[in-house]
Amino acid sequence: MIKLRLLFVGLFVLGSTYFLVKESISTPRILVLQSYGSDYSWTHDVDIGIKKILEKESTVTVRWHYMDTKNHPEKHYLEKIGIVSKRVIDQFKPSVIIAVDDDAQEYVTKYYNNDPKIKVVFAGVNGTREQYGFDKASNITGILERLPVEGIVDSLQLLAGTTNTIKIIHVSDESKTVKLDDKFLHAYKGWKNVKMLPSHLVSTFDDWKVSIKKACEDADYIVISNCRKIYDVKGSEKKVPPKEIMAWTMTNATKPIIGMNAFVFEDGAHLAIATSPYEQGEIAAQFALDIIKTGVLPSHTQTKQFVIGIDEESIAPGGEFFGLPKTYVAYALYSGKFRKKKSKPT
Amino acid sequence: MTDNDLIVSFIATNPVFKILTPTDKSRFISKLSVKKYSVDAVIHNNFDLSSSGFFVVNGSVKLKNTNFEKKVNAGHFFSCESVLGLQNHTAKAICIDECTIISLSDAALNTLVNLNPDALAYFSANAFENLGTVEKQSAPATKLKTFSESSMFDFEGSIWSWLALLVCTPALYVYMQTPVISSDARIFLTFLAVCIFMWIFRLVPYYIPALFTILGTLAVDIAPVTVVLSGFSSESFIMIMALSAVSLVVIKSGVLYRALIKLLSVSKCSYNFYNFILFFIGSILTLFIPAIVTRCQIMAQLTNEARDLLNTKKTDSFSTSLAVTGFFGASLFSTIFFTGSLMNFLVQNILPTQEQTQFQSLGWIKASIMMGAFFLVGYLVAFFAVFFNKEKCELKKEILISKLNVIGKISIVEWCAISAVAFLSVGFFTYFQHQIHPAWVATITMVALVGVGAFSKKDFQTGIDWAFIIFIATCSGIGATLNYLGLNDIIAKNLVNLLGTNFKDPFYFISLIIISTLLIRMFLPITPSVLILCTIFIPISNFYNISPWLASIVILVTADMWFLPYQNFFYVMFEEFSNSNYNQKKFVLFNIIMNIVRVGAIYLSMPYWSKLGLM
Repeated sequence: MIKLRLLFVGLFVLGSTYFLVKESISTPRILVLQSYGSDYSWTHDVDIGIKKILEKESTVTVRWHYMDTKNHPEKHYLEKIGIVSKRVIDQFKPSVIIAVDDDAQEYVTKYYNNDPKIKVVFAGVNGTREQYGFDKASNITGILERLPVEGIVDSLQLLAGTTNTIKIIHVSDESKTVKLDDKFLHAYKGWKNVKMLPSHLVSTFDDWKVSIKKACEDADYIVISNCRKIYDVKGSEKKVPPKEIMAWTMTNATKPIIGMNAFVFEDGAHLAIATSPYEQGEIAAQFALDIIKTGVLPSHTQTKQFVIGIDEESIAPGGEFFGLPKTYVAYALYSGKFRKKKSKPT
Repeated sequence: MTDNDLIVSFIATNPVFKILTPTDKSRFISKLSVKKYSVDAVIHNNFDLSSSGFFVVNGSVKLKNTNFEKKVNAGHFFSCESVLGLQNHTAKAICIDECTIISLSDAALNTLVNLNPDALAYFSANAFENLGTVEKQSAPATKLKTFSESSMFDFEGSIWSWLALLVCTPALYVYMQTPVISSDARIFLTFLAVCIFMWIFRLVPYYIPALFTILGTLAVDIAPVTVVLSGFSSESFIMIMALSAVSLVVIKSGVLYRALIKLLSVSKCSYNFYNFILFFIGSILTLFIPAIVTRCQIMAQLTNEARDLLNTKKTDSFSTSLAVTGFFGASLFSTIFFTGSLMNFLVQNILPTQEQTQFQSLGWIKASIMMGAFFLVGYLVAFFAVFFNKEKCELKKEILISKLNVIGKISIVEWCAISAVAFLSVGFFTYFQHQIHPAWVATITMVALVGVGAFSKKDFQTGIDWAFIIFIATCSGIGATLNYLGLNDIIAKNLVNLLGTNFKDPFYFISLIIISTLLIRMFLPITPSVLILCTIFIPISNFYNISPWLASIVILVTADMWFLPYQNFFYVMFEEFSNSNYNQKKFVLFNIIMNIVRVGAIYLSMPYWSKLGLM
């Protein structure tokens, strides 16, 4: 009787182990490798896009790894997190890596070019495919992130209501991503009657203040893509909070400010015409699922959608963006990026 | 018939041993001794310190005090007063004829009555017969052994501590009324302050304050239930529960005892080799038994066993070396293996999610193995420097053979224990291949052990340290709530402002962690110390260029260090289990050397951690 019991228990252990191992090994794994931290608004929104697609697929195991390079831009940290991320990949053995933003490509995925065991889907890449050797890699595809220049041109034409030249200046921090964006802005050919003046990319708050004042003298509009790497003084490691920078900017700028990323609006700008982080996440996740299901890599693509953020005060009569059609408000409301007018205390 | 044969026969036939397992019976062999007395020989006097009980094999004995006299014939026990907690014999014992007596040490008697409650009744009746007639006037008072006064008031908290708690925490609540801290965060921090206060002053058992904090948090609804109670749904919770069950079966099965006896019987008789065997067994146990206190208990039993077999005295250097081997075998690698300490589970639950997945059982070992190697080298150098003994020892091989005979063949439960350990080992060490969380491997093992009947419902209720498991789950909930309320960021920002960039060099930051841990450990027990230090250092570790895991392992290693016995609960327990049969001063001195080895190992491992990208 005891022997029979032992036999059945042994069979149970064997059966459950076989089932678990089989399920675990045969379940495709996706590693979402984010360059920045989950506290970063852009990254958070890309994650929303990824989850929206992957949540529909219950037969995939997904793990997130955040490199947090926005908070730690030091070279030593970047090299260190590259090693850690590669170890995470080696341990998790994903079928597909969704690598978001440039640092993930620079420090991790470019080392997996043409790796027969791993497929890579990039997203949020401001640089070029050639830059990371992805154009020669048979296992890598994805979506490039490009600033929504067409949307900005259309909006500026609507606001200015003229075919005369509209002068704009790009003022931002001098992070790697911003430099890549700036290169793209100046290389862009479809500006129509909008003239792109030389950009002001700065690293300290004092330089920022000078740049904003100078830009107000020279341009009709100021576009800002990022101000998250502005330090209090040169050589310091203490960053000035972006909300503080935008509060100063909105108080002191005499020309309208347009954000080119949604977080610039969240930090205080009155209008943002920004790359859609949701689109980056959704497309990357869909590519990953397609690869898992068919084994075929879809062709790479780039930004097609954009999001709008609007402050209610700025579109009221007398506001700097009063001329924009109501469609903008509707879209901002839909995107959850409509900031209501602060009610006055009674 | 040799003395040994007589003892084996006595254990095999006497009814008080009848319900014992073969392993337990075997353990008694080295605890008993045979003595022969001539006519009128005095075995002990009235009021002599009671260190043994006796059994008459041949002949008869007279028990006598001023108003009592009794004859004890062959086949009966006498003078077993120690089971009643008496320190002295209550009568004089004189041999009427030539006698052969088996002597049972106090420890053996107490073990026997623990294993067989009927034996307690028998010995008690026997002892009460004498006790009822103890002289009242002339004799010194028969002293009862003093037991620890455990009661509901057995905590160190005084009325002043409670008063301080009642004054300080509301004051803190009012003080925290700043725009930086939200109302919810303020309430939670006040609960947390109450919790820390209770830990520092030990007002209630250690698991109550954390439970109070999370229940209070739920009552005022400042964080979702899924966050506050996240510890109860964590894989660590399941893993500790399952591993506790497996370890209980391993202990109960007697397989470890068999391994020790077998290894001793086949090995060459040298002191160094015995030490090596014990250390090896302790290290292996570290892999599968997460509770250090349980390992200390097992190792204390095994060292006692080895000491009895080798017939060493308390003052012998070998006794101390055995105790050192037993204790460090059980505890040295507790931070090297993820499953080596319950504290590791606690810390892992506090780590950021992605660090938790990176440092599962195998990931943890990979990151800590270099430090483990330095521990081992440091330990061996220190051990041989202090205790090196190339002399051969006298081991009674016939006793070992008798013990093996009494144990008999490997039982089904032992096979179950061996299979469970083998299954767990394969499951843990092939994690990267199959990606099945170690918690599920341990759960399958537990279910199988329950299935074959090696682990009963009663074991489930009493064999698992539920208080500690609840404590870990509640602490995880506290960590998750801190994070949910954004308090981690506030703590990190304030600490970074306070510490500045002076500690950007990992060497200085690790030194800061070590010093802070040693200071806090002077006042607080290990568990709250680790929890508080992890809450402080984990959020800022990335800013200071070391990974959160590294910060936590430095805390764990340093928190394990102790200079005075009161600082280390495991050592106190080990001392108690091993009946302090060694030179404590020498032990404590050796431990101080090991503290230096531990700190040295941390610094020497830094290049390896740097290579892994952890700093």
